[in-house]
Amino acid sequence: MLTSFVECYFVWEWNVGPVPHIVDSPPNGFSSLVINYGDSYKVSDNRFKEKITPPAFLSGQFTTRYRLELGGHIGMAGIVFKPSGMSAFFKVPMYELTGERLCFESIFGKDGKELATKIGDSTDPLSKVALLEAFLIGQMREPDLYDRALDVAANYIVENNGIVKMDDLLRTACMSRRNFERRFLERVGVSPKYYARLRRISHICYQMGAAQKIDWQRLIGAGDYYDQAHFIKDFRDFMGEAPSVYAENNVELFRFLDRR
Amino acid sequence: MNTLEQNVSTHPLDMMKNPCVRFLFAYQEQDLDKMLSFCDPEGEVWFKPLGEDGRGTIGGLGRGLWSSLIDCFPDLNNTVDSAMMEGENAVRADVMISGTQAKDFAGIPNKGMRFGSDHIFIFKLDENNKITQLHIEWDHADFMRQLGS
Repeated sequence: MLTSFVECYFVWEWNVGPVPHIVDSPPNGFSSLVINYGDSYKVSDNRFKEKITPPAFLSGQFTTRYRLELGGHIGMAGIVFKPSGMSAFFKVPMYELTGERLCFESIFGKDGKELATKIGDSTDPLSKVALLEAFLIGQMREPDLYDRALDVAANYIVENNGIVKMDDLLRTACMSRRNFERRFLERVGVSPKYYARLRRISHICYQMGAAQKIDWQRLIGAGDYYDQAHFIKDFRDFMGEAPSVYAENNVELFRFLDRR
Repeated sequence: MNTLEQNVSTHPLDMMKNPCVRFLFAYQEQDLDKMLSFCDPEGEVWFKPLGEDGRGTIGGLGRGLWSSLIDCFPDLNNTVDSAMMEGENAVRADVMISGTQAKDFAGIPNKGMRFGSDHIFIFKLDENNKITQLHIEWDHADFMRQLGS
C-alpha cells in the first residue's frame, strides 16, 4: 500500500566517538521524516551555519548541498519518501517544506510527540519501522487522479536520472503546462524542470563518488548536457562550487572512507 | 475549492511562502487586482536592475510596471522553480518569466521577439502574511539582448 510513496525506512545508530562525523550531501531529490532520539546534531548550508536540527522533523526538497555534523551517539529513525510521496500524507503544499526542516511536533502536536517518544523508547529497529509505518497509514489521504499522474511523472524523472523531456511528461500527465507545473510545485516542492535538473546533478554526484577515475566527457555525455559550460553552470547552481573542486575535496574522502 | 486555500485554513504552519506563490500564480494569470490583494499597497517594490528609478510603492510603481508588462507582452508567463525562506521573515522565489513582445516597452522598441529570463523575487511579509516589500532581480542586459536591443 505504501510502496508508491515510500522509498525506504531507516534506523541509524552509531557511537561516533570524540571526532564528529561529517556528512556532506548533495540535494538528492527526496523528502524525509526524521525522529532523532540520539544526540542533537548540526546542519549547515548556503543560508546558515551549524544550526541545531529539531529532534523530530519533516524536511522537503533541498535545492543545495548541506552538511551534517554528528557527534556522540547517533540514534535516528525515519522515512525517505519518493519525490511526491510526503504529499500523500501531510496536508500542506510541499513548497512550504522546500529547504526547510519543520518541527514534527509543531505540525502533529500530541500525536507527533507520542510517536517520537515511542520510537525513542523502542529498542528494536523493526519495531521503530512498524511504528513509523502505522503512523503513516493513519495519516494517509486518498490521492485524486491528478495526484496519481503527478506521482508517475515525478517517479519517471527519478528513474531516468532527470534526463526527461517536459513535453513527454505533459503528454503522459494529460494536463495543461500551467496546471501540471502548479500541481507539481504543490506536490513535490519545486517545478518539474527544476526537479529534473536537481536529479541530474544528484545522480552525477553519486557517479563521481563511485568512480575510481572521473571521465568528465563520459559524465557530461551521460548527463545529456549540451556542453561542458552548461554542465559546470548547473553543477555550480546546486553545489556551490565547480565540479573539479567538488571532486577534489569529496571524491578523495569517499575513497578514503571506502578503504577503512 | 482551491487546494491551496484549503491548506491555508487547515494547517497550523505559518505558511509564509503561500502568499508569495499565490502572488506569482496571480501574476501568471495576469490578474493585477489579485496580485495586489496579497500585498500592502504602500509596501516597497524595487526592480533592482532599473536602479533608483525602479524603486517605489507596490500599489503605484509596481502596479504600473506590471500593467505595462502585461500589455506589451500579452503571452507573459512564469514558472515558480522554488521558494525558500531567507531568514525569519523573507521568502526568495526563483522564477522563470517569458513572453513575446507586442508593443514598445520601457524604451525597448518592439521587434516581436521572445524572452525567457530567470528572476529572483525576495518577499518580506508582516505578521499577517501581507507582502510589505518586494525586490526583484534579473539580468537586464540579457533581457534586452533577447528582445533585439
